Amino acid sequence: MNRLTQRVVITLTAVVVALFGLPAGSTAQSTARPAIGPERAFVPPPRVERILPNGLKVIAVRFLTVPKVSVALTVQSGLAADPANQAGLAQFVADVAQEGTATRDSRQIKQEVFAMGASLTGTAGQDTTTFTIRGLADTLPQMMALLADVVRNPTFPQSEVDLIKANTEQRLQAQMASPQMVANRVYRQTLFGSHPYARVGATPETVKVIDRAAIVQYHRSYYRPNNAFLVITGDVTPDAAFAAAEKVFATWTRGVVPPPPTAPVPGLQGRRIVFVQRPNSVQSSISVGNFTIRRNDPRWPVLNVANQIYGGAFDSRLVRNIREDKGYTYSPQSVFQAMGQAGLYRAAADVRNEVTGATLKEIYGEIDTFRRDGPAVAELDNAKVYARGLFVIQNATQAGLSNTLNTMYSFGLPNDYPEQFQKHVSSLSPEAVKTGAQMLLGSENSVIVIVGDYTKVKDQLGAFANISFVDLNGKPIPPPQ
Amino acid sequence: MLVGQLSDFGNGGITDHDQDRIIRRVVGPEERLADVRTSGITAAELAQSKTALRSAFLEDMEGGFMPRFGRANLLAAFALFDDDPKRVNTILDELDKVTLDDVKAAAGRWFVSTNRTSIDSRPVSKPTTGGGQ
Repeated sequence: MNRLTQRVVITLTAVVVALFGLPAGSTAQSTARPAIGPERAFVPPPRVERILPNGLKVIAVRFLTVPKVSVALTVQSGLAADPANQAGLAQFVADVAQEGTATRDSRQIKQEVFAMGASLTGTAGQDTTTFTIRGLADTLPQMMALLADVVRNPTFPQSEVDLIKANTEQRLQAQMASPQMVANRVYRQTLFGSHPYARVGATPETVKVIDRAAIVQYHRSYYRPNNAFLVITGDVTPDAAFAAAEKVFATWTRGVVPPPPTAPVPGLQGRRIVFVQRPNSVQSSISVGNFTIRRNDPRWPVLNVANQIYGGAFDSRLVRNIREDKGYTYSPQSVFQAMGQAGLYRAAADVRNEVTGATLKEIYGEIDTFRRDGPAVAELDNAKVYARGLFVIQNATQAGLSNTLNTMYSFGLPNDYPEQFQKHVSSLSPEAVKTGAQMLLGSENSVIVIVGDYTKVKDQLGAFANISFVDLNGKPIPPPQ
Repeated sequence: MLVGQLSDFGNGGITDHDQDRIIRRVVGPEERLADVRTSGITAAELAQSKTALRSAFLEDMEGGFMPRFGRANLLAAFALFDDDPKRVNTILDELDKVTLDDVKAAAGRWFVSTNRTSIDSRPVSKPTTGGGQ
């Protein structure tokens, strides 16, 4: 360990102790917790918006925290636009685009990024694909030029396609060893059925099908200025930001972009278990959930607070119950993920085989209690303080504010969303959050995915009549004996 | 010495091809370290490294473990180890003053085989299917 690393570790240790308390066995005098200070309103820096003649929307925000800039180019198409037999294609396009353009090879791109002290990423989500370059403010024109080159002029070299395919196959193979990764994939497949949101990325089968021609076609169809927007956040004036954007994006040509593929979201009937057989497992990785609202639904903040109270925050009911009280699991969590066409809710916990049935009982018990009674007043007050404070923290950095704006423009949220979020949370009544909990948390109609060894836990699942079985690849199998 | 350590893997599962790959992987960085030790780096490399470090420092000042945490951590580190938290304001100037000779001298002092440990972590030959995470 070098000296700098030692310094960091020692300092971090001190801070961790300060934040989370002394290790077990230590003794310390306790003092009364200081009151929470007055809340500071979140006032985002002004943003300026222009649309280039080719349809590219450009949003510039001068945010002077440090002399750096984040530039995020978002294509309004993602994994949901993948053909069904080529799941993960959108991420391949984003990955291989960074490996060669008409004027730069892979090594040159990496060297330019390093020389600018920058970082460049491309990530495909369900509805969008975002390329982000972040670096020193005085390199903005060069960063913008590199970003535009990668997005507009990728050559998708066959050798790089082959390399990323090989790496992806290896990564997927490694992920098969992770019950959590398997649970997430099967949960999404089970919940969404034939809807495009069932596909969370490449699978061993689709990697074999994805080829350079498909990558080129996806890029040609969806990477168009009239299907994209650009967010520039940091130490730059809007005029300079627009000038830099126009210089490299003004000649990007429009295209006719296919509408996002869609399908009806399947209905849920009863409590259905899909059991992923993983022989000799000593734990069950449990997921429980259902559909929820779209991201642009005005009720999003109330469902967000309801999720926080149920299982999203560390002092949530689920954590207090099955972690602190029962000791079934170390890290239960509920996730509320709202996307363009639909949203989902998922509670997840990895528990010992012996408490698989008991955990399901507690998860549903907490759901039913919350749906029936809503939040306690003090509980809701704490949740509001947390949600409002978290929003400020999330937007305290250039990259954080850029993320919020990216969400806003991706899903068409109201123009005053950042300014109004805290007020919206403050106005929530216990009754509103109770209604939100009822919308968020299905009880009688929901999906349960368990990754584990059925032969070790089947006696605990007698309360569930509808159980089907799949292997680690999600293929149906007979009931394990 | 590093190449010699390969014999310690003797579990019968390594082919000659594997051995070649491992040797290349270990020798590659070794040769690069020797280059820097004996020849130093170029002016362009120094300039690029300074830019990268400056950018990383500013990233830490703004963010870190959570927003603004990096700034607090750097202040604490400079206070604890240098008794000078204000050094957070001058460390970038110190970085700018680093010369090619400074880099070569530092490499000569620290990039030596007696001052490092090399670990080659490899998966077991037979994957296990049981167990939790």
